[in-house]
Amino acid sequence: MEFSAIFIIIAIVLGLYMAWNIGANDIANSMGSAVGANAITLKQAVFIGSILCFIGAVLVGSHVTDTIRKGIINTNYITNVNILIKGLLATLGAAGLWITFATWRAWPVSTTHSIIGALTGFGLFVKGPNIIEWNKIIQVTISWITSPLFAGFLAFILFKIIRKYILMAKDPKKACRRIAPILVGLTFLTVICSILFKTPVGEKIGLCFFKNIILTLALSSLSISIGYFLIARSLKKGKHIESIFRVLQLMTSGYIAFSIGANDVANAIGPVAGIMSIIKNQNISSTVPVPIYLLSLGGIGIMVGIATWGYRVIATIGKKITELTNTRGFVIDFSAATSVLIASKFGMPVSTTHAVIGAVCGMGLARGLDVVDFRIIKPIIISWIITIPAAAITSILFFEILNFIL
Amino acid sequence: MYIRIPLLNTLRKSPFDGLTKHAKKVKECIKIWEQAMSAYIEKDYDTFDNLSKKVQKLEHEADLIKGNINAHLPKGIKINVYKSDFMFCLKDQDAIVDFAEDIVIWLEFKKVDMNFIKEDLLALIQKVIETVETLEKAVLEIQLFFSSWKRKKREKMKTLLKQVHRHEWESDRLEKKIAKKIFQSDLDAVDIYFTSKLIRLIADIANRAENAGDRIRAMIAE
Repeated sequence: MEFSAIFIIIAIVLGLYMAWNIGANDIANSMGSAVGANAITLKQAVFIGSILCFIGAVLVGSHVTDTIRKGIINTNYITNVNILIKGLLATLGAAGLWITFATWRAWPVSTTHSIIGALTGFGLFVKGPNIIEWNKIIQVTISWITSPLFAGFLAFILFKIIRKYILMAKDPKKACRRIAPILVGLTFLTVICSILFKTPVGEKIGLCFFKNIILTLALSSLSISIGYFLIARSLKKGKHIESIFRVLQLMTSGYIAFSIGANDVANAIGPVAGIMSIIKNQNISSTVPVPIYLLSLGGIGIMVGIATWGYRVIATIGKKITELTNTRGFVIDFSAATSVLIASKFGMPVSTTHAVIGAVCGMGLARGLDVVDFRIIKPIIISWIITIPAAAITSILFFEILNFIL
Repeated sequence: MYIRIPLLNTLRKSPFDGLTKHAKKVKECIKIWEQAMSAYIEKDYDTFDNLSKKVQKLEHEADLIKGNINAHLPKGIKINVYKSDFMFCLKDQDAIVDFAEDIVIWLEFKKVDMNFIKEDLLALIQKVIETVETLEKAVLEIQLFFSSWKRKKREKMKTLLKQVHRHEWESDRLEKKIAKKIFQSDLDAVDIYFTSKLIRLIADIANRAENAGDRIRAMIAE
């Protein structure tokens, strides 16, 4: 294979471009609201976002990588390694191009779904519909509806509860002392659950499902008691309720940054890992181990994305959404993160982007935001739907071009 | 700037920003209007003409703010309160400066000696100003309430709105008192028409302030 070095170089460049995109844009999903609500400064957001994204990518990333690559097309049907390598290159190229186009048009589409669309197109073109795992495609479609709906529902309920039982309580501080620790516990529950159930960390610890649940509950209860103590102390010092929610929001924002690193790094380096493994072994194995240096490369790509472009996006978002208080920011972040966790537990490749939209709309319906623009929902959903065919057609084109050249 | 983030699309500038801005403009205008009225009553007609122009200019500025708010609330934008409550509140608040403008223009038509009702007229004007100022205090609280949801803020607004009602009622009583004096005076028919319409217009400012207050009360109803 005389082209193998070129293939790898192109793959790494394209993979880094995807990682850069994630850092440049998606990270603002988590940090933008924290800056908008004045929970942290722009510098802090860039710093915290980069670190957590990198840690998420390197420590937690590997697990997700093969599911996306293997999930959508059944590689058993493809016997020619050359075709698969070109296909993966075309996939990366098409997804990158689509993301660039969508960013230019300000459509909040998901990097995961772009990759899925591109893979589908390539698979259909090469081997026809049998190669596609249609179940997964249906799951993606369902997730367009379910993850925003669920996040919206959660945001609606959570905000109503916070408003009724804390903000509008006769003695808000007393109510906050009683109820905020439960929110701390819930936040911890979400974070610990996702680390144990969604990532290889859980497998490494090697506990069974039941023990995992017990561990989660134990840690969450611990966080409730510590939270109760800390909240009571800071309220006694005369701190406002918003400052309690500031801490909660920081936790959920950080968690979203972490999970973006953990989940989305696969979009950038998954295909790269696939190509490298195929070239090395000259066969197509069912799972591809992702070396830590590739994950680090993806993580660095994301960090570079944040440093070169992402900070401007976060700054712009932060300036435009001064509407956000810490309470509102917490509700949006918490609902989006939880909905992503639960959906991915059901094996749905959901996107934080979609969940955030749902959470904002849910908040709007609960009178949690002064104003919400519901008109943009239609074009956004259309952009989600056309992501799949657009990325698919582009990847077929790229595949043909690669075939023609090489 | 190329951004692909849902928060950027869904969140918009709060219309309450505009309402607050409009309220501040109304407050500014009504202060100048008060000075214009005393200048007229004191027969300082040059000062009155100057101030009258200022009132008309501020009324126009308030109109621009109102238009800008309306232009940014198309169908499909969901706000925190019933859109009708918001729109009518804005409309009635804008009517305050509209009446202020109508009054100074009315006064430009004819110079009538108001000495026989001077004290009552000044009291009526004072009452109207109080009504408007109390209303604007409540308007400035709306946005803060919707972001903090503090029960105390809501109570404060309710107290302010009750005061608006009381001021309006007092201004009505003053209007009646002055109307009686006008019709019992020995002015000619034209002047009676002129002055009675004048006090009607002045009292209408308080009415409109009260209407705007009722809309705010509906916005914060539980």
